Amino acid sequence: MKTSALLLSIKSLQTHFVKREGIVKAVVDVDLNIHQGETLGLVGESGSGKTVMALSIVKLVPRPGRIVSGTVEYKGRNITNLSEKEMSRIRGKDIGIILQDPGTALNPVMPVGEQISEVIRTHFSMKRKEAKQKTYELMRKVQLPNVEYIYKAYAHQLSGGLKQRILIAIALACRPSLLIADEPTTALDVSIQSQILSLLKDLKKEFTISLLLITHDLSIVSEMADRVAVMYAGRIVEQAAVYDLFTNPIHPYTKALLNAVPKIDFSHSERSGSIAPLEGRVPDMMNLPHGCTFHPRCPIGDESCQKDYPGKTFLDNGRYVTCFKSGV
Amino acid sequence: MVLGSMIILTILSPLITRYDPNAQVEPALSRYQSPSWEHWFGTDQFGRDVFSRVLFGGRISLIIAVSVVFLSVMIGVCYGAVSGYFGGLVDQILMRFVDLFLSFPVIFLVVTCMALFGSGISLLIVVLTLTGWLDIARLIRAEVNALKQRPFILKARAAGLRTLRIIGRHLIPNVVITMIAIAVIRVADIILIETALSFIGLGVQPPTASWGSVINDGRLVLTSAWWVTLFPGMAIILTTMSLYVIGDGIKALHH
Repeated sequence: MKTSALLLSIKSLQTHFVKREGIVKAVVDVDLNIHQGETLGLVGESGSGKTVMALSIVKLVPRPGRIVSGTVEYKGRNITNLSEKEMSRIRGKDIGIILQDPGTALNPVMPVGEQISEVIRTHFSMKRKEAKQKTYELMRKVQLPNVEYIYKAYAHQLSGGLKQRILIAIALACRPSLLIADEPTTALDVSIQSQILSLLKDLKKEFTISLLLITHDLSIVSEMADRVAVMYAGRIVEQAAVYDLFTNPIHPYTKALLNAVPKIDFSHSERSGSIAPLEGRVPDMMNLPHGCTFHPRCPIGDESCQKDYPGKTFLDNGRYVTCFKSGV
Repeated sequence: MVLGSMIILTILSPLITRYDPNAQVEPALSRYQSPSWEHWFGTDQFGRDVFSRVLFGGRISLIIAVSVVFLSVMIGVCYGAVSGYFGGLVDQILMRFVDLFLSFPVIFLVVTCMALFGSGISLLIVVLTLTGWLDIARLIRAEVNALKQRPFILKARAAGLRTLRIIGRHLIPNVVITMIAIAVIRVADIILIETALSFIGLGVQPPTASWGSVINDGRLVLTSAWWVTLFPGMAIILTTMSLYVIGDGIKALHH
């Protein structure tokens, strides 16, 4: 898997929001690689910059946000300085995106099927009828029942799970090679969640796409991802293969995250059932602590952590950590 | 209901009345006849049938109002949608332009235009459209500005849709209800403006009848031949009232 070609490469990306009250550094110095066919999980608390990160890739950061520096290379081509027109050719066609909250992501006054077929017709010159057939096909692929009926339905007539399937169909309409899924299951019931996840898994195999899965749910990551990047206050603090990260977390934040999740694991009796909540809260993004941004909440940090932000310590298997104290 | 019958009556006016609205029948005898079976609303100073003048006049008034509103809504919606969607500098420039033109007093502008280019129904439509689309553009801009923050617009952009398509197929259809509500009320406003202009002699020119000009005809003889002013006045009140009620109804439905 590690040998497969590089699809997306993000290099020292910075996205800032310049406001009257100050600058919010939503994405700071992020490096991230996604290989062909791989699933990269991006985890972090709410407000850690995951969504802005995803929007930065396709240059859709809302004002007053702006990519300040860094590059995003897609298939070896720098896409950060493309014009809006060139960018719109990549969006939807090469990179599909599923946004948070299916409840509001569909146009309320346009039949949902139309919203799929218009994407197909935007990127391929295709007749209305042909695009409609394609849409039916796609709707069956995302396991929607009664496709002719649902095609004509409006968003308010559909349940959350159905809407999410429609949005997946929209994102996959032009067979992109990268799918960015931003909290694809957060707004859904648990039973629907697992359906959507297994659907994503199947589609990923069938369409041979790479997946950037953004979530705050570690169980989803452990189930879906090949590699995981942990984000805190706009930075990636640890990146590792999924197995390494879950069996041997190194960064104190990663450790804290894993400890904050209840485990159903009867073999390690001393760990099961004990939830250790992470003390403190996500720092004010306008007023970040000096040095390592995690030090006020860190159990092992000391004064030396308050001077500089730690550099990356590279380990084997493509893993890296940014911490002075984790003993590596 | 009232509005519907008013529209039907004016559209079918040639079938309903027996009299040509401009025909002057035996002037000496038939001037200022009070309402009777012959002439339901009486006759005016030239012996013309007021009933048929009100119907034909309504036709003119409604044609003017509807075309003005249609045109100004078209312009206003496109302009407002573009301004609202792009935001930033484009929005600033487009909206300052609107502000500039909104600061012109409408009646004064119309009077000037009429004085410069003469008067006529088509000129009246043009002038009222030019002054009427501005605040529609402003309202639509505000709606679109709020609408573009909604996730489905981000989804449309993330799917790589073209800007024109996003504006035309995703933004404008979502402001249609506001658009209709504005349009309906605006028809009533334009009827009143047109009436006022025709009343002071700047709108529809004699002998063509419009509600305003018919009222104008009866102005001098209000105390003796009240029917000449009363009936077109009633027509105006009923029409504009029902338009306002309908417009409010649509707004209430929306919220």
